[in-house]
Amino acid sequence: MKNSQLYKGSLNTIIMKLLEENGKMYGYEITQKVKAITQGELNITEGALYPALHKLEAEGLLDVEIEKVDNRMRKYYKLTEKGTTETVNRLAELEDFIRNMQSLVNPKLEF
Amino acid sequence: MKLTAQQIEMINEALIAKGLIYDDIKLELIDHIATDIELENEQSNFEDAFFKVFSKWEKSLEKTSSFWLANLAPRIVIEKYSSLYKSLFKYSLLSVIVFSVLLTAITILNPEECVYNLLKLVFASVYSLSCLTIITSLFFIWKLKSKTIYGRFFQKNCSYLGFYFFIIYTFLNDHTHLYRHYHRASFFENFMDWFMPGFFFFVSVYLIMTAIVHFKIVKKYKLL
Repeated sequence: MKNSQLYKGSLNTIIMKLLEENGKMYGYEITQKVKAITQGELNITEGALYPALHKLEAEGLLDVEIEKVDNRMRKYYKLTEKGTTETVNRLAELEDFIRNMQSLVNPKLEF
Repeated sequence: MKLTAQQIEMINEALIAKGLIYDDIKLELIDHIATDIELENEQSNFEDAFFKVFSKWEKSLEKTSSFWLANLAPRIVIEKYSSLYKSLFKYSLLSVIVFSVLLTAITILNPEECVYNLLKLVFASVYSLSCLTIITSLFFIWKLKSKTIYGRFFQKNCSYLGFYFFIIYTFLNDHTHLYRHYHRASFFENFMDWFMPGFFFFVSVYLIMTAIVHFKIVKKYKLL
């Protein structure tokens, strides 16, 4: 992941935001979506994506669905009710963080 | 171009060769790698795409070991194992502290001997039930053959079951006269008396929960 230390803390929120917008998604689809939205600037590695997805699933924020696609099984992730509520909270926290960082980095810029 | 069943099987075998034997993790990786190969395939042949895509997984599939799992296993497995152990200790320690404080508080109130006898009966029943559930789960995990990381975690830690049995039954046998025992014990001794068997009990409860997750995954992922 580009500038991994800066993005690391926001990975879970990024995943939850994508799932909120797209309903259900599978691992590869999430990596490609992030790449497309950021025009290739942000590339989520496999080593970071799956531990994050599994942690969110263990916390009860994500639910999974298994479907047969072509010659294999595909695992889809979607937000649970708790996950939907948590997404709103985490996005608000992330927006506050971005605003505060912006104030620190560029104090003259107003929102 | 969509991959054939034979090509999917090649991915499966390559993952097994790298030590990834757990179906729950493998299922997801097979789909990820296959989708990536299908897109790469549009520009090159299957073999080239196969090696190119697998090279992206080098770090996650690299064999390593950890404090929690001495055996060499792919990094992705070790990370999952470590998180399960951390949850096990977190859950067991928090639960046993609450449990021990509560039971020590009851002891301080100096209740009648019949209260201790009732507690002993409850503990003996709950411990026996948990041991029976563990043995039954071990049997069904062995019988179903499906391999998940939760099932393996359960099996591995049940090897300490003999020690667990020893601690619990020593505790119950030593406390034939619970009233007299606790009447003499200090607050700290009392707390530790509940803490030790309580800890192993909560470890067994956590292990039973991982066995339940294993059975749910086997059913949901249609691994039978």
